[in-house]
Amino acid sequence: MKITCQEAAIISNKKEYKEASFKEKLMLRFHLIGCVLCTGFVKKNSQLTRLFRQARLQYLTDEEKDKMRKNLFSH
Amino acid sequence: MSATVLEPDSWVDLYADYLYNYALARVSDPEVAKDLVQETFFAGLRSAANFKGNATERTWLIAILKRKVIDHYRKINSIKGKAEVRIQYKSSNENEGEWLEEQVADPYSLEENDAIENEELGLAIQDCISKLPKKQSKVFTMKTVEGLETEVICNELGINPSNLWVMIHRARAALMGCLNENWFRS
Repeated sequence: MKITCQEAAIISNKKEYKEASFKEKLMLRFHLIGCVLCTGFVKKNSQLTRLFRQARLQYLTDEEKDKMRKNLFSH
Repeated sequence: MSATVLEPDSWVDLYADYLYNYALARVSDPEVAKDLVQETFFAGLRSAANFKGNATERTWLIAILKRKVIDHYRKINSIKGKAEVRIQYKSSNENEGEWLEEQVADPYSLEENDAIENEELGLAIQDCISKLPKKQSKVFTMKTVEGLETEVICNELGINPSNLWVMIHRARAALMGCLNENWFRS
């Protein structure tokens, strides 16, 4: 049942993408009871997710960029 | 300080997303925003000879994009494009004493600050993402911005899930370090 901080961090990340299993979440819970450092990380990690949602970033797809590149240099 | 040299070959890779988000915040139509970015690159290429090298490439391109956004609003002859400030002092008695100070935007209204803050946040995040190693930033944006499934990303990039999670972890840790502490107030 014991996990390292590295493993705890990975589970925390999975949780941010809603991909942590029930067992993983449980293990993370247990780990956090005794680990101040990871508790801080987990908190900051979920804030990071919130910041991303708030920023509403948009990215161009690779195809769109390819097109741009082609347009740019065919001139 | 050495002068910056333009490298148009890498413009699309380095700045397209940054410029795109900047444009999108101002025109709110993805197609128009894309066109503006393309036009910015064209204009940059055309006037590369005028680049004096005392700004960074990105600052210079943003300056061009700003002009393009204004041109866009002029072209569509929108109200924004025709904007000019007109303030009329009210002449009727009941409004006596209402001076300019009382007509400016409410400094305590949070709404418009939110929009500005979110834009700044977006550009700060992009700045930080652009500092990540290429593969990390690829995996991270696919997962976070495009919201793709782990399996899809793994197939496309030929990595296994535990590779993916390690890269995601490195990227997130780096971003936490890179983003200013101010963003993390709770």
